[in-house]
Amino acid sequence: MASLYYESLNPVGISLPAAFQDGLNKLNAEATPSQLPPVNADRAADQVLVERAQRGDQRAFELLVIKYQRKLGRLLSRMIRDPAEVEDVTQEAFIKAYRALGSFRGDSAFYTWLYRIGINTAKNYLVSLGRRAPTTTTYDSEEAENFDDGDQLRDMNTPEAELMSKQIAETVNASMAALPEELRTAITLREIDGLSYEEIATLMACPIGTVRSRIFRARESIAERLRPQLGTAKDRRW
Amino acid sequence: MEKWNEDLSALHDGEMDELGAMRILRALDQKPELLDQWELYAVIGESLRQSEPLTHTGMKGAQRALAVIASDQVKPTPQRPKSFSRHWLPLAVAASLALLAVGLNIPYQIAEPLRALASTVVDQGTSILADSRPADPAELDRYVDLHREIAVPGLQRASFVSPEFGGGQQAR
Repeated sequence: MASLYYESLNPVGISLPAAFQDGLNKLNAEATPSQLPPVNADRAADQVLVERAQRGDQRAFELLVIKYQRKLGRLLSRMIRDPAEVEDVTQEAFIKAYRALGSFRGDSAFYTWLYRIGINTAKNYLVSLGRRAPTTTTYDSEEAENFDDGDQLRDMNTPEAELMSKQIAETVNASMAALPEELRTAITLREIDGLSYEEIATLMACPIGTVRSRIFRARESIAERLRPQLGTAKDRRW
Repeated sequence: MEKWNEDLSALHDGEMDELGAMRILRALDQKPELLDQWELYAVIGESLRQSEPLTHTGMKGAQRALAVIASDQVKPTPQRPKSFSRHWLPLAVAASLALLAVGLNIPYQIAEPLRALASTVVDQGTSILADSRPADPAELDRYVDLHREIAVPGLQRASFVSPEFGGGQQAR
């Protein structure tokens, strides 16, 4: 059951060496539902930034916005067809989230909370235009993590955007395939399986510092190939 | 720069303590390229986790939101103190309900549900305080005793232990 859960989180079909897969299956079997990644992993990953942002650190909030801007944009695209309107609602949702940061208690992951704000902002927007807002059951907060955008997104993308997205995915997959095995394993266990550095260190039988370094080197290697395709954030700022 | 990027990678994974996070956040003003790096890490993570391709939808709106926030046009609402709302509010509501019922000398048929409600709220409040106890009429009496001087006339004679409230003693 638990291993099926992990398989469902591995859509790109990256396979781990058998020794690590066995260890991962063991971790899966021992994990209680509340320990299963990536919800808890995301919650822990954002905690420091959320706390800093709550204390008025705008830079911390900026990092959270950069991290989730695409995810929120994709979500809102499912409710609102016009891309310009999606941008407006995204802007409003992030501002609302910033205003309401004081009320975020950390009972859920930051993105789950942001997801609800996004859904409510989009609904209010649609109602204000006299359009029918989707029912709450359509966008249950349980699907906040790992929702599948499905065909609807493909329909909305322009051919250019779709091509670029495809190229990004291909670049990431090609970069992953070219990574040395220990780097590929480390980043797969972190990004797809949502394990902590400590858990990865146990699985890979190496110090935590080595895990940290391997994940960083894997990211750097992929980023090296990806950077020309994405340009710099400055190019994309408005 | 490589050290900064490695720290950023650890922050991305939530494997950085608050001191380290603060150091990175402070460095962002001098090293804006770290923001690009952070975004790349986010894209890599999403790309690995999602079967669907990435889009840039929402990025303009996100950047406009950041511009509004940076201009100090909006402020986060201050965090509500948890201590009052979560701990003492239920007890305050319970005490108010109980005193209201006693003070107005409400008949048993009305007072009993009020007492039950008060007891429920007290239970919730005390469980939050990790000290779950049912409302003790004697303790409530002691509370009323302490405040008898400022109580309305009807309340000066009130007792939670009285038969009217299911207790066994008559009001003094």
